[in-house]
Amino acid sequence: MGKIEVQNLWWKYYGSDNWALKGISFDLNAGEVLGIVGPSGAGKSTLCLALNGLIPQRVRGSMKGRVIIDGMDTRKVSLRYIVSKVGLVFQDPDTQLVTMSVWDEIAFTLENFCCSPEEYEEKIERVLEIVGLNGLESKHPFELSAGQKQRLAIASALVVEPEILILDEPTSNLDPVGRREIFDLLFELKRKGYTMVIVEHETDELARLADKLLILNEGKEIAFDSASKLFRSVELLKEQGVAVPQIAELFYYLKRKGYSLDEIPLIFEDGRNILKKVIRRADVYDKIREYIHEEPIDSKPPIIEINELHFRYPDGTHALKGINLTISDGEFVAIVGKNGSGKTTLAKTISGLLKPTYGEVKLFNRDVQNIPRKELVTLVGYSFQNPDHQLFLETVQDELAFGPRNLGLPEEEVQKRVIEVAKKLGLEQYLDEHPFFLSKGLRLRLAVGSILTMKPKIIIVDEPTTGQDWRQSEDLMELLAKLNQEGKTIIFLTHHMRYVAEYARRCIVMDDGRVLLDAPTRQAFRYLEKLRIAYAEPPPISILTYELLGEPALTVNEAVRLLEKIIPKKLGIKTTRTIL
Amino acid sequence: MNNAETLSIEPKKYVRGYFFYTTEDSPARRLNPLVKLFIVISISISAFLTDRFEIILSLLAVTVLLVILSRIPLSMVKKFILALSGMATGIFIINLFFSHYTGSKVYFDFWVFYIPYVNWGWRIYITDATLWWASLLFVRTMVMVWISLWFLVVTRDRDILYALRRLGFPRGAAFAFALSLRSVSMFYEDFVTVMEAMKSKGVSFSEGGIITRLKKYGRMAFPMVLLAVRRIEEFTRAIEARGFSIKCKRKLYNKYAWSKLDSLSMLTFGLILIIVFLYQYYPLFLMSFLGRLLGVFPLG
Repeated sequence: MGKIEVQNLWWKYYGSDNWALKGISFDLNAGEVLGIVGPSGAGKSTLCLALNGLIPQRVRGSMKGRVIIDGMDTRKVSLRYIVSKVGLVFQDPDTQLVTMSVWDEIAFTLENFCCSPEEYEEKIERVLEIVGLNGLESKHPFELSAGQKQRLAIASALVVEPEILILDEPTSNLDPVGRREIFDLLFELKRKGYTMVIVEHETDELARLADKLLILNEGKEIAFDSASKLFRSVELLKEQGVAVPQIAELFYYLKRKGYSLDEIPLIFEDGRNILKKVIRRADVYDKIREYIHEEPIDSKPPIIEINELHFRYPDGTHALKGINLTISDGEFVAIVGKNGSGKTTLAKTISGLLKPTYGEVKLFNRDVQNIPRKELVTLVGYSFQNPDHQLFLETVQDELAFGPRNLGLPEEEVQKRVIEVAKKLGLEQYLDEHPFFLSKGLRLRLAVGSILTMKPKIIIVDEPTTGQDWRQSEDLMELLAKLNQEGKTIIFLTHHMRYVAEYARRCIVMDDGRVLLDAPTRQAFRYLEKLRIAYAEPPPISILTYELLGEPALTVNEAVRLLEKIIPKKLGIKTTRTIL
Repeated sequence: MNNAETLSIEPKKYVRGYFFYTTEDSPARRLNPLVKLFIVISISISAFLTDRFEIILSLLAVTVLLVILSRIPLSMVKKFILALSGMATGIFIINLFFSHYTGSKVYFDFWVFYIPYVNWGWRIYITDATLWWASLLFVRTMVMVWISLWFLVVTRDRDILYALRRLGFPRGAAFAFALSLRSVSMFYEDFVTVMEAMKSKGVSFSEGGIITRLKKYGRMAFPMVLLAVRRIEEFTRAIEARGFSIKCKRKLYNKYAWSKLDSLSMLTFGLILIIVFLYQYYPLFLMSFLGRLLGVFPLG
């Protein structure tokens, strides 16, 4: 039990001219895990709704083809019956939890299935054990961490013992701790024999978990095959805007450089085992530093000075506990750390949105609290995580013009800045569009653009890559890099260490309101233990090269370049496979 | 010890409720939610029942005492108190200028304007009765403000839902109520974030006249509404995916023990309601009853 058959599935939402799904077909056997990848707008979430029967039973639109779950057509049986067989978990845990306690949340599902109250205790206890939330029964969802909330959402789906579990980007709103918790749970569920369908952008983890992979783009099925085969199709994944597992990417490029490889490894352990056979760390340790290009550290005067900064929220949470930092003109800084570590609070105090409880923040030698707001926004611009909080006007043009108009600049200057920023961000053709009809990637660009038109010297961007696909994230990070080259000081807050490695020249690691580590990125990546404490583990490629060569490479390209210098081509690389 | 050191050793005192940060523990927090709801109902009905100044001032005193005994940090709720006190003052002013109570003394009588053709106009007519009623309404509103405040600070959302279900509210209605409360909290979070986002674009909410400030707040409506619509859609999908139905009933899981303090509170506030009712409508009966009571147990 737990078999899924999708036969030539087409779906068009009511009122739309375009098909969201265009002839999708695949089979999944009981106990298998299917990964679904693809850029935004590929139809991944629509497919999840179709597998759960919400499409077509609750969502309006036109459907062709069939979805068969354990032999039953989802159009012909009641939704409640399908839901009892197929659990569905969404991206945002906050909008899935509807009651006031962990116990009530799970009981809510049981109640929907008219379970007898006598069964509650036993069923709830069992499912809490599975997701590891026992002991937290009376907690309010507000009191749980992001990962715990998502585990609760999974428990709420599992309590009626479905055979299939569909997870639509279950980790994209989570911090590294939450992501780790969810993947651990998913491995456990796989071991227990659940059939699972997982939409996920984190391909490094998905490559370990998935048996099969479905690549979608603009509603079309690009490929469906075994995950081990498709994750090795590096060019195909890149072409479709899907992040490639770093280990697979590394070995793919090594193979292209002429190394003989029987098979490209997908996971970290396999990659390490292969390279260990041809690299002796002692031999390369002295040489490697010559090959690494270290960027010189700027000795410009600091423009942000933070002294003994404390911040306490009204609920008593002591979010910042004595921060001391300086940031110089033109730096590109990443602030990392788990949720609640104080990243956003620190950024908001720098931008003057929060007033320190104790200590001071100085911008250009002036206390930020004494700088008039209209002047402050020309010094520091803050872009929020969710662009929808930041956009409130009717056209893209008005949105870009709002800041400079509010500063009282002449209309001629306002328009000049609007055009300049629109060009830079690729928003020229959307100037008359309503911001809310733009894609999320474009809305995020617009949110940054609406800050840029005020020409701040420092730009702070909160979680620029969260909830975005790989291509959107890369685009935005490239934009920040370009702004940095033009002289802007960039500070970005993130959970995605790939982007820290690739773009940031300095990495500030926060933990429990304190700065745990502050160093140039490569140097910071040498402190693996500290980074692990803060759940800010470097990307696999950096850990691999650090373990084998004694220095962390920051990108796949750099790792390839270093390995080329270390391993003579005639040696070749013999592959072995680790059985997971 | 400097300020920073003091900060670092203070424990977290408050936890988040729907509307306010609430004290982590106090006798009032530990009361059964049903009792808390009963206290609010008892005080509110009493305030509505009576038009005697001495009684309504006593109710206000009881309510303020309740807030103090519950160790509610006033700094947390001062804005709320100020806003609602402003509302109570508004009620006082409206009564002063727009009501025409006939009293024994007229303090002010002035036609602001009069349209003879339709025989209509605005006359400010302030008598001793106007002042008395306006003041009574002011204090009555203040009683409501304080008791609501007390309830919201010492009661957490799930306790409100529990109390409603115990009172026999249908599951669908109680669920809708709980969800709307939850939405209020998310709405508030969005409100704060949108406000911060506007500040980050140079908008200052403390500058300009009332109209300018209202315009600034008005701009927030669009993102707020859109965010709310998106959330409703997500909530709907999530509960449908879990087979939401209002058809079957479940036994309510009772997490709350009944303590002596609960019984005592029920008795006290039940008595308050009865006394206010009798004092308002059957004062002679109440007096003779109290007289007999005192006769049975004479003082001294």
